[in-house]
Amino acid sequence: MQNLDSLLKPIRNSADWVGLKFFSEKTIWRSLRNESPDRNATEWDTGIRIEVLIDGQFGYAGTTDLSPEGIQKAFVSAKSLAQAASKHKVFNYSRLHRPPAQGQYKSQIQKSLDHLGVKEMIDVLRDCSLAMKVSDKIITRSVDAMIVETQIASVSSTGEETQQDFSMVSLSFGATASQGFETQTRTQNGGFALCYQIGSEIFSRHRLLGNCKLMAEQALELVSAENCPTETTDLLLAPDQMMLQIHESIGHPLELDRILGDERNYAGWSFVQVEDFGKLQYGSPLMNVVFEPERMGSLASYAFDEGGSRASREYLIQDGLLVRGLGGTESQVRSGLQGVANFRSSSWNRPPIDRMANINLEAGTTPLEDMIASVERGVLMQANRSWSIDDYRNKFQFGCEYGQLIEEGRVTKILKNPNYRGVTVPFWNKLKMLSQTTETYGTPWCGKGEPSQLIRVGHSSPYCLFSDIEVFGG
Amino acid sequence: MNFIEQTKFNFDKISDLIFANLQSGEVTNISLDGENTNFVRFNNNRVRQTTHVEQLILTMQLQKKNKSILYKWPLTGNFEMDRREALLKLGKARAEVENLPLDTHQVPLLNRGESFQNFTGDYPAAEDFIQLITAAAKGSDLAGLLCLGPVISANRNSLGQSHWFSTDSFFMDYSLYDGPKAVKACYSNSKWNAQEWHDNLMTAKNQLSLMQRPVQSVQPGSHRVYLAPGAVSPLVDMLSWNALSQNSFQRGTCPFKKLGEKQLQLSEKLSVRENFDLGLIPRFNLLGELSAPQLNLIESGQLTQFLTSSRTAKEFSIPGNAACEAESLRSPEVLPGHLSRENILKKLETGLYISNLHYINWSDQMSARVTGITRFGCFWVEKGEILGPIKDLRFDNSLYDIWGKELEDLTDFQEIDPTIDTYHNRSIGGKKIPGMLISAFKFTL
Repeated sequence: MQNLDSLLKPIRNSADWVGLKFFSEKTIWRSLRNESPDRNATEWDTGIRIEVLIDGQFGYAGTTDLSPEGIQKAFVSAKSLAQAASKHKVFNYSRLHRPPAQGQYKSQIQKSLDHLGVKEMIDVLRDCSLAMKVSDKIITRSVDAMIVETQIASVSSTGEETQQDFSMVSLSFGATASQGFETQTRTQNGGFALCYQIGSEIFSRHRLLGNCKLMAEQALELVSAENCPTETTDLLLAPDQMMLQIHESIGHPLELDRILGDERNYAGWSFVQVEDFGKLQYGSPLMNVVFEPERMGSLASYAFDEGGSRASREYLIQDGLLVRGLGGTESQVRSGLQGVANFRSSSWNRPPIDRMANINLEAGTTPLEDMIASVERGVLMQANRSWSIDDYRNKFQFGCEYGQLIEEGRVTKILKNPNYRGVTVPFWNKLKMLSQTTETYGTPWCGKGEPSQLIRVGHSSPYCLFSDIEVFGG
Repeated sequence: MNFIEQTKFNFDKISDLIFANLQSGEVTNISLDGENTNFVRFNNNRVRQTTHVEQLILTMQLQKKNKSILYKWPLTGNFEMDRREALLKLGKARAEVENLPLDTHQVPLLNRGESFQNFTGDYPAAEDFIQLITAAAKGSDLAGLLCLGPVISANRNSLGQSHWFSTDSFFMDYSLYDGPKAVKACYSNSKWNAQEWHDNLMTAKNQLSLMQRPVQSVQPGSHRVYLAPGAVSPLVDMLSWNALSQNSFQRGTCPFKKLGEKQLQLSEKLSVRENFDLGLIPRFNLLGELSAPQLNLIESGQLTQFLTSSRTAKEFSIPGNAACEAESLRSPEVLPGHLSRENILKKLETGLYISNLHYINWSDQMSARVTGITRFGCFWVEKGEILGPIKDLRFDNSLYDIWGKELEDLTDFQEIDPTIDTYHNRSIGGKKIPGMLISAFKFTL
């Protein structure tokens, strides 16, 4: 870690407020295809983002030259642009909008990521691949691991001082089966959905091999399965599909900077308006959604956002009513709405914007077997493979890998190519049952912003049962 | 020295250093992606955020004893610091590669020659650009991104290969709003021209005025549509999502599997190729392999060839065509047809004029079926006259249909759609595409 204070000292009084954020990230990729190495790579990314406040306008500059001269050069660029922009600023900010947070955060893990050597890790991954070799019809077995260690340190001219260290692993296991003209792929919970703040304890054969074998067996089931029928029916969604449903139809529309129009040219706007908070019945009274930055092990847990706010758990939707948006200090003051500490960036080379983090749907009270037993006719869908929604976050369509028909309270047959579509608020108001327990997934690749950036998110959800949803097949 | 000159000087020094420190049996390929970029983000014709980024990312692939490892790290621009780091990384890579399994699909490095292209730019500084943009758009609700600066892509290997591509350009990607109604536009060039910017903005404003006509209610179902080049563009992007990948075809997951097996074909009006003569992106890939200047992929509806990387070629013992590792399109061109601009509405007669499509994804990959939604300036047309804008509609169609029997014609003109992707770093490139008239396009919601 750089001695940020010494780098800040020469420039700290050269603007209304100055901040330095140091980012250091190491990403290791290990990939196998049919047990052969496909990718072995390591990426290092280290840089500092200089932030200045001039005449009510924040400006940013990112550099990999971490010398005093490099910082000075970047500072001059940030200041010059901010000064020119201040004559046309969206809002008149002050140093009040950068509270001087102090503290630390560290991912809670059992074993460090370097506890497992290169050869050991590749051996575990190869065994996972071999576990999927259950038939000659399994033509492709894919195993991918992304191992990330990140440090973020912050200082500012008003006394901010934070250090956050993250240990993260994302895994993907997939089996592709082919029979005649039919090809189907089955992965563990959707590609790269197994994303956590965790240590090398995740590379446990006991933990991984059984599911790998199951995925391959289910891929074989799919190639000879019937197509999902086209009808309006009960829909039971597994947590590994609810992840995308929450992400696209709750997370994104509640981002305050979207509601304020910042994202209109790229990712879009939102159907949610400022006046909807406290009034809009977003979903059924069973629906309770939280912003949960302290959830242990979830991919997007942290202590402080990049605006200097301490992150804490907050309800976004309570008993189905929309109560709070996903916006950091800047968006809160612009909109007059309450928000959360979610002002984040992907790295030193992008400015922070409002990003969802851990957005979780709370569990219900019904055992899963009772949920299935309650369904006269419906479809159970697992593992997302396709997602699309409009720029206001209204009309969506999702596809899953694995479907099952439910008839008279029993799962009767496997269905391939299960898809469904709907409109956000009516859909959530059709939520009629939630299971007792939740499962947690995530993605390292939520995209947004201009310039664009990817961010990590985590989502926990129970199984959810919806009524009268349009489902269809391939 | 300017940024490009200084970067070339530093890149050559660091590469030479790494080559000089290789041991027996080692070869290495080194690539550089660099930029010195100013970003200005606008909302409501005011500045939301400004960001300056200078980044130089080095990628080193080390091959030794049929094993390979790839390392990527940033350069600082300070040679002493970069020298130390490069030697550390080389030593680390050397040690790690010993622990890796044999890579049977590894492609041996070769010297594939040299190339040098540098395109200069002439445009205002970012600080001045802010005034030019906001003044011209005064009174408009403009949201968008201004991006300007030099971008570099370079490659060398220890066998003597050397490629360099640098360009200095800007784009202003934006949309104009009238309440919830909006139109999209983009002005990009390497040389600023105030009249061009004025004309670009006026065209967008004129289209926005059409959005003030009464909103037309259009029910889901099958409709005739004209897809403007801006709407064709994201459909062409789907071809880079495994559809033209040889590796995906060999593994049975290719959306155009049936096209590749000659079970199905597309319309004979449709031809798609890689065209590097557009000059928007270098011909060399990460390994420095040079693609042919033009590469026919689909000719008159039939597949000519998939994009095949040398790694895939080795794995399946088939010829490669210097595709990039992802086997995605880098400089695509869809060839034009016969529909003139003046006749678009007349030929459409009654149906939908669609300027943009949003959030397209495979809904059934093995049927090449895509879903997405209309966005920005989309209109209902009756008897060749624009009646008014529509509310967004979701569609779900197979490319085999809309680019098959339903493809009536393509326009006789094409537009350049520049790449404006800024994830991780600023991407370069673009596509040259016509509009398309389609007789039946299914909307579902």
